[in-house]
Amino acid sequence: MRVRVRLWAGLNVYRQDRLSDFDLCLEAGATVRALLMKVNVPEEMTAVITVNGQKAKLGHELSDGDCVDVYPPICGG
Amino acid sequence: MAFGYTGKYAVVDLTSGSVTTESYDKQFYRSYLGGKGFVAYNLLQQVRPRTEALSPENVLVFATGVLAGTRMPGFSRVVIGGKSPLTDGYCESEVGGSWGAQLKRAGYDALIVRGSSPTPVCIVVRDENVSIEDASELWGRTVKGTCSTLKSKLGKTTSVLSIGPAGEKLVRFACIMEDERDAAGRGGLGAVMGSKKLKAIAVTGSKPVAVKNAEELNKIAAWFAANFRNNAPSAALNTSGTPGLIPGLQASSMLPTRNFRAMRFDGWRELAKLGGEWKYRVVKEGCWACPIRCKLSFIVDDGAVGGSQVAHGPEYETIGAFGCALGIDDPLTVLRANVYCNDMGLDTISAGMTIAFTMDCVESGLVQDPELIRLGVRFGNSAVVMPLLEMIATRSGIGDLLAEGSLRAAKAIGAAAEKLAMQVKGLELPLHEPRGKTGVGLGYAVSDHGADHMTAPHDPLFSKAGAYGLETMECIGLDEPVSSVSMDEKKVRLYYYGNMWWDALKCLGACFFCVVPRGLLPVHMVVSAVSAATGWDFGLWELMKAGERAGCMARMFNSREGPCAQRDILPERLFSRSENGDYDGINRDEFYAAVKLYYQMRGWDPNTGIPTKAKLAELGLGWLA
Repeated sequence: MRVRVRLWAGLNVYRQDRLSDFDLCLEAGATVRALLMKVNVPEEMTAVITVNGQKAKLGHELSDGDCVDVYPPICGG
Repeated sequence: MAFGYTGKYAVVDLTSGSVTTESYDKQFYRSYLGGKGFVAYNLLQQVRPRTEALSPENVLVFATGVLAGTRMPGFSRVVIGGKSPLTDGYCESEVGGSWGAQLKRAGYDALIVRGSSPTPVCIVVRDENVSIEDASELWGRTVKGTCSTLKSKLGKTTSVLSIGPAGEKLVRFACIMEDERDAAGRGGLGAVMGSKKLKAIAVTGSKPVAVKNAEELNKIAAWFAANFRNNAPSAALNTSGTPGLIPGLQASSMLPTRNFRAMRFDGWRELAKLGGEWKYRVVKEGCWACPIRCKLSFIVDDGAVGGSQVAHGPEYETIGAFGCALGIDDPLTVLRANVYCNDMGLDTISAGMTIAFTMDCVESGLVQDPELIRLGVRFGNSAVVMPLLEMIATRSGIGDLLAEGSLRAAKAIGAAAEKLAMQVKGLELPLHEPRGKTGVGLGYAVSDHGADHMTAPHDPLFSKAGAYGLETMECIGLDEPVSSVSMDEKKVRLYYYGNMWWDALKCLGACFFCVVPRGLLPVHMVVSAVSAATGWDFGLWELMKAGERAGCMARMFNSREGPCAQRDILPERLFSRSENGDYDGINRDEFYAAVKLYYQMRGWDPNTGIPTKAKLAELGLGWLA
């Protein structure tokens, strides 16, 4: 299946290609945790993950066409 | 002083017209370090208790840190202090750019301004030569006009701190601008300059700062330049500046909306365009020696902000204050408001939040002012922003009341309005939601200068094992996850240590965006940099103690003004559930127990919130007992 991934607020530094908005192919039924491993973003550096705009846990199973947004902790400034 | 510091302050008395130089010994510098330490020390020494903030007896202190003017990125901020006309207490506000670096390179660690002039003046510093010059022709001019006149006279490399017409009109939240873009925004120090008839301070410094070990300092600066793009918080700032916070805050339900009624804003995508992906071309700018360049400007070539020009982009706080806090989703309105506030010299946070308060009062039926009704003041109406700002900046019509700030305006309107004024000690809340990060709320309450979001790193950085805050701050004892919404002893300790660290950085004139846990530079490199600059056998213990000492002095300043603990409070709204139910209200009993515990952890009296004699003695502040 194919999902859209958006890495916000600098999380793309963990990717060699530095892409922050891209499509990703995953095996059917893959979870958010599996997605993070595949895109090389450490779990502990994330604060909020949404799937199609709804907050999702690491064990959430993804579906074809999902849009996954990954955010780090947001501090002030 | 041989290395790092110049060892000298310039002292300008505007009443007598005199300029003198003062110097201090090594012991003084090791105790107070610089920045906030110098500010708090000098305010305690030179401002008598219960001095009227807008009187000649108030004093302004402009203090740099030991690394200012060197190649170290993010260590050339100037900390400006005085008694605040908005809070009637201790006030500090910092600004980046290059003014601090220039002052140091001119030969001064700090500049102190006393008294007031009968006619408008500016202070001109050209290396060690400090003079008071006539500024009659600058009075009434905007910040942009003032900067351009002074730079054409003194040279393009001159850095200017100035006030706009709002400071001249004594608007209680007038700011001090650094050149045309950056602001020492909070607490109304621009009005203090206005009360002294001091329009600007122009500084040109040409002498390199002498450091003990330039090789080590250069090594740290080079490491920073080589690595910041691999660090997520720094890379984010490099890409989108602080506007890049908006999507994450919305996703976390922490985007203060309609005067903190709600925590999510449907129009966030429009506001996020101010992070650079908009119809206007973006130019990035930065501060002295810093490669991050987190400041965005827009080339507005369609006349939308008045003629083709570079429009300095708003920081996140400004977008929050003129965007979601007002229920407004139009980025152009926010950009125009930012440009206007910068030019008139208004603090964007207090200005936006005072307008939010006004909208809330009108919608709640507490104000029936015909002018406000005619304008159509209500949440979401972007057409009212510019007229209201103009009325505030010029103190015309109801703007004269709003120029007093939301607390004073609320007191004039009535008791019910006070509940809608989102402020602490008179300083309007920045755009961070304490119901979702309670440590920020604790900071708002106990900060001596009022509601400030930059008194300690925010809770989410420490909320799960392995998080960046825990990974980088383990060396000061922050090694255990703490929930963002708890209000227990672990949270109090987290805030206490975080606050001490950030006060220590304020003594160094550091930018939090460059240093852990908000940026890249690790704790041990900060300590090494101070050692390299000074040649001292310097350590983390000494640095943290300097932060604690500075915070303690700020509290002692306020203890002379009246009761302290009674002012360490939060606006009522934060104790109730937000409108869309994302977070519960803060538990009042837990909150006030946490405040008391915080006092005790710091060695302050649990009932009065004032440092004990023992704590003062321990910090070498026996002279304050």
